Amino acid sequence: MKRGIALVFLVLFLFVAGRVFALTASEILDEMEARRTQFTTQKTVGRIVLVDASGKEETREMVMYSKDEGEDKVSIIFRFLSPADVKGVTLLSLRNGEKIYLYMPAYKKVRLIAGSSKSEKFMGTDFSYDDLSGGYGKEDYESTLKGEDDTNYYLELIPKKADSKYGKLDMTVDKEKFYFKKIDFFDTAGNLWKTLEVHEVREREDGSIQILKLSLKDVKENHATIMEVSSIEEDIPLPDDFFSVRTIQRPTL
Amino acid sequence: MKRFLTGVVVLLFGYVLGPVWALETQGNVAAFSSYSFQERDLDYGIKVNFSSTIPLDSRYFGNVELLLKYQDENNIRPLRVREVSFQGVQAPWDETDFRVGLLEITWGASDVMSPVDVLNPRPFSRDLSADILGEKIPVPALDLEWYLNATWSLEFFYQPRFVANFVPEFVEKQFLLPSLLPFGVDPQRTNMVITRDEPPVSFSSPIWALRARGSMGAFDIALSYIQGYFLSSYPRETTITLLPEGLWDVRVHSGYPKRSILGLEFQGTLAGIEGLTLRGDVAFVVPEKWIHTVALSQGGEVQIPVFDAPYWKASLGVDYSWNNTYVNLAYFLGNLWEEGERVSPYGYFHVDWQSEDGKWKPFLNCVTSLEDGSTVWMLGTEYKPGDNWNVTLTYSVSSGAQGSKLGRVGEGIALEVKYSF
Repeated sequence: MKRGIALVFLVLFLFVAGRVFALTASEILDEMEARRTQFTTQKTVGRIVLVDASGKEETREMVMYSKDEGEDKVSIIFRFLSPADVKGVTLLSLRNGEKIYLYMPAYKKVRLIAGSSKSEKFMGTDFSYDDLSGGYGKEDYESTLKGEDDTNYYLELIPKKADSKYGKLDMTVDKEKFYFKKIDFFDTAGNLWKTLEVHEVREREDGSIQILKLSLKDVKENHATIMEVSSIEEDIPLPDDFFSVRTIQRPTL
Repeated sequence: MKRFLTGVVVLLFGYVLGPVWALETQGNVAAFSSYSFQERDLDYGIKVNFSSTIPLDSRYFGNVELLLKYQDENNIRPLRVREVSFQGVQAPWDETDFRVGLLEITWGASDVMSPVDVLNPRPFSRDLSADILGEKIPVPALDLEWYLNATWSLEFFYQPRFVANFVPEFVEKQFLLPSLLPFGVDPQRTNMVITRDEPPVSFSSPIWALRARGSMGAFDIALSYIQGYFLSSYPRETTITLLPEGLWDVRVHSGYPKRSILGLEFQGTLAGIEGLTLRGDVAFVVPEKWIHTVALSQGGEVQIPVFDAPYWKASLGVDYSWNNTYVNLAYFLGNLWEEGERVSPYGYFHVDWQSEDGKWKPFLNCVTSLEDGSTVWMLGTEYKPGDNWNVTLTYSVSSGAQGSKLGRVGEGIALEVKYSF
């Protein structure tokens, strides 16, 4: 009898403990945020491959500088290094896209990008200006844990912004390293629009995760963009006014 | 003759650009042609744009931009410098950037026809394409910008030698002859000789300009002041003589009137109207008082005022883009060539749409004179067949009475094939 009671307690304990130790969606996002590479400034050199519906590839090399401005705001300078027809074209996004400028060397002119343009494609890639400017934090999305298995969590994110072009995001999160492996973006009508997949990451000594290769496929247009990082430098010294219209007009960054 | 010229141009290209080729370069080659249905005239040509930046150290650079252009007629010269300059970034002080040399300067926030973008003269073209309208002639100058902080700066421009617009003499005569009709001159039996006085621009008496620019909330603004001269010549004295054989001898003495321009540039968004960008440039032009004196064959003279009061020019536009579609609506007060009392209002509409695969970009441009209703429509498409290739085909047609502002543009078709390297 005593054995029977002990077994019941053990089962109850395991059931309750299981509930206690399971993470909520919000906690998963917090853990992902904690595992995100923390840096003040960063320089990334890499390449972007555009793949059209017939599988034809077009490669563009790029350099990107970013700076954590605090309050989850990031400023970015992004410059194409090749091919010839976009070489030198430079984007400046200030504080998660509060203001976005484009410098086109052929016109020797800096152009403020319209608010509506922020959701448009950036230079033929499948990324919008908005995609390049922000992340997937819980301040921008309502999150729900939809399931889990041995290796992944499955989250559903609903954008808080009423004017978001996405209706929801289905995110697959690596259980061990807490980074998103895959995100399916759905339009406001509920149709699958884009799929973002992470193909290669590097885990640093402090446990933070750096994404080295990812792809974004536009399912509707049957077009994909692959971003591959060849080098990353962190906490590099940059002047206070580096993320400015002045900088993007320079011949070299 | 044309073959010979083409050969010379190619040789020059190889000779001049060969040594520089070893450096990191970029540019494009474009073949262009246009056909006027009314004049049954085919214009064609080829041009090579070439630019190279040579880092001398981390703060100093050499810039070379050349334009090699052959067109069948009215070309200013086959090999043109677009820019040759020495550039300093955070030099000579941390707060300053500069360029000195033969410079191309772009001012103005407007996408089309900015009235403050007047520091460089322009070559002549019959083509109305944006590519051609964007061509400029460089000027010897210093351009220094002093950054007060990350958002505000003060720019100083100094030009010690005057350079004029390039206008072929037949075009200048086409403009001048109608103004002489009231004096009985027969354009078909006229020999016209034009001489021009260059303005007294020197190191101690330069063309100069100042511009302060920065950000105010959602708007970027700039205020500028330009002290210089008109870049096209205007007649000052004309002598008309009727020769015994019944020919008219017309001697025109022209000059470049002085002008001061106060400019305002802005681009920004309006709170509550998501997605709308306003861009505009406004110029208040104060010209030197300029009288055209015509000495008549039968004796006596007539005085025609060319400039006698300040006037406004403007380009005010709004643009919006969604789903790969871009729309631009603008109002112009004055075009690139209208000054003084000739300034008149225009409406401008542009729409383009980029295909899903990014290869096609059909567009429609429409310019209407709000003074006489004459209109030019330009319908075309850009096509990107592969990496670095770009093809643009444009059909244009105008409507309007004889002698109207835009009616004379007529009907035509233009093709440009460009390869970037």
